[in-house]
Formats: sequence, structure tokens, C-alpha cells
Amino acid sequence: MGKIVLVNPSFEPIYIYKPNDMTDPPNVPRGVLAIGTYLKQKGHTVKIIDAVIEEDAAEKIVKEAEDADFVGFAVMTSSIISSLKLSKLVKEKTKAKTVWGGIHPTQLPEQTCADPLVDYAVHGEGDEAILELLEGHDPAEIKSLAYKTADGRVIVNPRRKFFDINKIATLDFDLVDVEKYITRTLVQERRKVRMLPVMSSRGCPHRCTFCFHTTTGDQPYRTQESERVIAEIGRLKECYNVDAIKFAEDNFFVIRRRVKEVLEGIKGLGLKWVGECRADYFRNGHVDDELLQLMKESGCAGFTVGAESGSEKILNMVKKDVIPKQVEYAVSRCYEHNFVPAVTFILGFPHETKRDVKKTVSLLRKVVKKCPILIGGIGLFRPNPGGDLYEECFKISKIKKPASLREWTKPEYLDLMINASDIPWNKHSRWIKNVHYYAGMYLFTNRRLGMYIKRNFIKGLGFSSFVMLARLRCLVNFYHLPVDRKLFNIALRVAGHTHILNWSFGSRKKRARQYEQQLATA
Amino acid sequence: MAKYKVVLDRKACIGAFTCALTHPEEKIWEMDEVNGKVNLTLTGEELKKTPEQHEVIIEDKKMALKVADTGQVCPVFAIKVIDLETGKDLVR
Repeated sequence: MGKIVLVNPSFEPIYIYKPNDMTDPPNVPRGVLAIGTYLKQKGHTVKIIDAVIEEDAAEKIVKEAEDADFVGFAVMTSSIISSLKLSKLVKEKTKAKTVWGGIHPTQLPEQTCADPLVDYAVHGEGDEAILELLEGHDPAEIKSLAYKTADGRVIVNPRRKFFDINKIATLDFDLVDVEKYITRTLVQERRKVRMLPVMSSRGCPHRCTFCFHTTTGDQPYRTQESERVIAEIGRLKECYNVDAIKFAEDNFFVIRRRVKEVLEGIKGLGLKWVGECRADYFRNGHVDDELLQLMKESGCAGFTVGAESGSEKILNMVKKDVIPKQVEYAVSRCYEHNFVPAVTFILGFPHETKRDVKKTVSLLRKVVKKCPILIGGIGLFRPNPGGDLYEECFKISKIKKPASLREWTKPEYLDLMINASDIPWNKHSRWIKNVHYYAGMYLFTNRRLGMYIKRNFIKGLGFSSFVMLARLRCLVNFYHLPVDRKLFNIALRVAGHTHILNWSFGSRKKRARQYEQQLATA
Repeated sequence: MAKYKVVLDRKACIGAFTCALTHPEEKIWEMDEVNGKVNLTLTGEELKKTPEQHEVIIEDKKMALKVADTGQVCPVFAIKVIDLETGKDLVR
């Protein structure tokens, strides 16, 4: 039997979570946990190290890798530098081979595997490919694997067919220190709970082009049998004493019959649950009164609804297959049934005009009016490697696409892909960034402001004044001369919340310097 | 034995392919290479097959429910599964 060390690398700028009262711990690293569970089930020795949460991750990885056959990394574009640094350590100090999987290698397997620090890259779901690698199969025969030949050429094997996810054991949380992740805020009820994720399905049948599924080909929707899901949730309650669960999957609500079976099954457990639901599912025969009632009875606290844009032109462009009216309807249904929806928006798509952006702000204002208890979020669009939108963004911005894995670690790409410091594929970049700030502030509803004021009167009041100004701007659609935005940055600095500045508002030069320091050590 | 009429409105179909990606293992739907819409691959008593509409009668209840699942995620409501005994559309 083989041994593998599975690593969840940290993100850029290198981020290690330190327990505090203000922020929840990071999510359980579900990717490596799913793979680790399957490999353990097959009798292999698995060690999971989460570099997002463990300060001494590098030492632990080297120690565990000494007698391991492979060290696997679950890599996103934002964790390339961390993965490179750790892979270098593994190569220098041990004999273990490095395997990279995850979203970035899935989108660019050839480029990833070409790097000297990467022995193998897995594209698509890696459960069986890594199992075969660990069992000593010939790499040339392992589907969904990219490998190097003796003369250094990279060969990308074809993608394997999807396998029955009922074959995989339920997530084995004993592979991680679950207590480090379990205490989280149930934002809908503003209280701390013990919450773990459940993954009862994989894939999503919808075709939204901004989502990574459409660029990785992982759309086919596969489900675990309802009885299994119910048993798994019961086990989480019994073994880990959870009082809430999160359906942490791409789309829980696709098959109504299955959703009903699962919810009927967990009704008596007295748990709270959260998930995600598309706005167009709110209709007769899908998420209707009957299902909403059952959701309430089974402990649903709220769920995320992706609105994305208020412009039908943009929604058609990204193939969302939802219209703004459906979002309004979904949100009002949530309010009627006393659920707290978390509505998310995206700005900064290519070809998005000022008119389109204003339509998004208008939709945002409408949904806040319809459901004053909602939690909102607004993000800036960043293209996933591969897919039409990615090609379009690089074509419009005339930026050269990164030609190697190392090029992705250049400050200009990381800054663009992670911090969205600029939107070069849209000529209204600066204006959109202003709208992003003001619309984001608009989403702080009175309910939330009251909570902040109660927590810290002075800071809460100060913050509320910036929110009021943002509301005024959204009301009159005026987003130029962002003096108050700049003042807010200064206020954040004075109040010592520089971590927010680093992530969202910090100077580009400063971030570039940070990346360069990271790279120098890699 | 109960019978179910599966109706595909090909005029309404926009080729989003969500139906084919739900219960993909059953291969109920396939992409029409010519017009980018979907084709119904179920075997049964064929009632109608025109460029606008395809109607097939099936007797397998489990399969009828699965087809209804695929119809529920269609963004343009192009799929119906009618229970011929009750007249009820299983998609709605």
C-alpha cells in the first residue's frame, strides 16, 4: 500500500489563518479531503496538511513526505506560488513525486506539468487517477493524467469518464483536525454554530460561462442516493455534534425529488442548514410553496441566490439563463417564508457598459427593498483560464496570455486574476471599481448596521455614515469623484483594519512588491 | 399499466443542454449537431416527430420521473411529461 501527503496550499498574498473573534476559520479543504477519503477507503496511508491553517505546514510536509510516494497539491491560480514553494521543498528534501490537481491544473494541464517542480498533473476529478498512480499503474495508461516522458515531453492523457460518486465513502473528517474548522457563524441567525459541509452531488448542468465548470467540462450532474446523504448527516450529528450543515456542492437543488427525500429525512434531526439555489428554480413544480415549507421544517436558515447582473444583455452573454425578474421573485419568496437569502452580483464583465452596470445597481436596490433582511455580496469578474470569456478578455485587453506556469506568478497576472485591481477588458474600469465599492456598501442593510453599532458604537456609527453616503450615490447613480471612498480607506487604516486594505483597496505597487518578495523565496 | 407522454418542444429549445447533463448516465437527450438543439433518444411509441415537436409514449414510471427531472431544469420549459391517466404534467 502506498502513502500520499495531500496539501491544501495557502493563497496569495500568503495567508495563514489565525483564530480570532472577528472572522470564521477557513472552510474544511474539501478537495483534498474527498480525494483522501477515497484513497484511505482503498487502504492507502493518507496525510492531509492544510497550509491555510497550519503555520508549520512546510516542516510537516517535509517530515511526512520522507516516507511517502507522492505529495499532492490542490491548486488554484491564487495558490500557485505557495504550491511552487512547497513542491521545491519536497523535491529538495525528499524522494516523493509531486502531483498537482485542482482547478488550475485542470484548465491548463500541459502548462502545469511542464514545470520542473511538477511530476504529474491531474485534470478533472482526480479520485481514480491518483489512486491508479499510487497503485503503480503506468502513467501512459492513466486517464486524466499529464506526465513527462523520458525525453521531457509532456503528454496529456484523455479525460476519464465520470464515475459513480456512490462508490466514494462519505467525507472522512478524521483526516483533518476538525475542531479547527467546525465553529462558524450562521450569518442568517447571527450566532456561532458547529457546522460541517456535506457534498451530496458533483457537477452542475447549467452553462454559465463565468463559472469554472463550463471551462473544465465537469458539468454532468451526479448525485449520491438520498438514503446515503441522510445517513451521512445523521453521522455528522452523532460523531461531531454539529448543529448545522452546509450543502457545499455546486447545485443541490437540481433534482427536486431528491431534495425532497433528503429534507424529509433530516427533518427530525433538529439541524440548521444552508446551501445555494438558482433564482429560476423558484417556480411551480420546483422550489414552490410545498418545497419552501419543507425547507423551513427541515431547518433551512437561508441560501445563496446568484443574481450576477441586472442587465439582460449581460445575463445572455454569460448564458446565465435567468432574467432579473426571476431574481426579484426568488428574493420576495424567501422573504415571505422568512429565509435570509444571500444575493450575489458580479461587475466588470467584458462589453459591460455603464448602462448595464446601472441596471445591476437598480436590481440590487430592488432586491434590498423586497427583502430588507438579505445578505448581499458583489464581486469583480475575473476570467477562468479556458473558455470563451477568458479568450475575449485577453483579446480586448491585448494582454499576452501567460505562456508557462511561472508566468502566472508574475505580479501583473496575479494582481489581475486575484485582486482584480484593474479591469483591462472593460474601458470603464475605474468607474466600475467605484460602483463596486458603493454597491457593496449599499448591501449593508440596516439590520447589519444595527449589529455593528451594538458591537462598537463609535466604529459602527462611523461605518454607517459611509454606508449612508453610498446609499445616496446609488440612489442618484453618481459614482464619480470617490472622495468618500478614499476617506473610508484612510479610516480603515486609522482603525487598524489594514488586512482589508491589503485585499481590496491597497496600492497596486505595494501588492506587486509583496508578490515579488514571495517569488524571490520560491 | 400507466403511460407517460414525453413532449419535446423543439421550437422552444435553445440548446442549453441542461436536460442532457441532468441524469447524464441515462442518455435521454443528445445534441443535434445540425441545429444545436436537443434530440430525444427514448424508445417508445412515437406519436409525432417533426422539426418543431417530438412526442414519445413510454411505460416505465422510473424513467418518466427521470425525464421530468431533466425537464425541471430546462430554462425555457421545452419539456413536458404527461401522465396519460391523470393528465398531469410531471414537470410542473
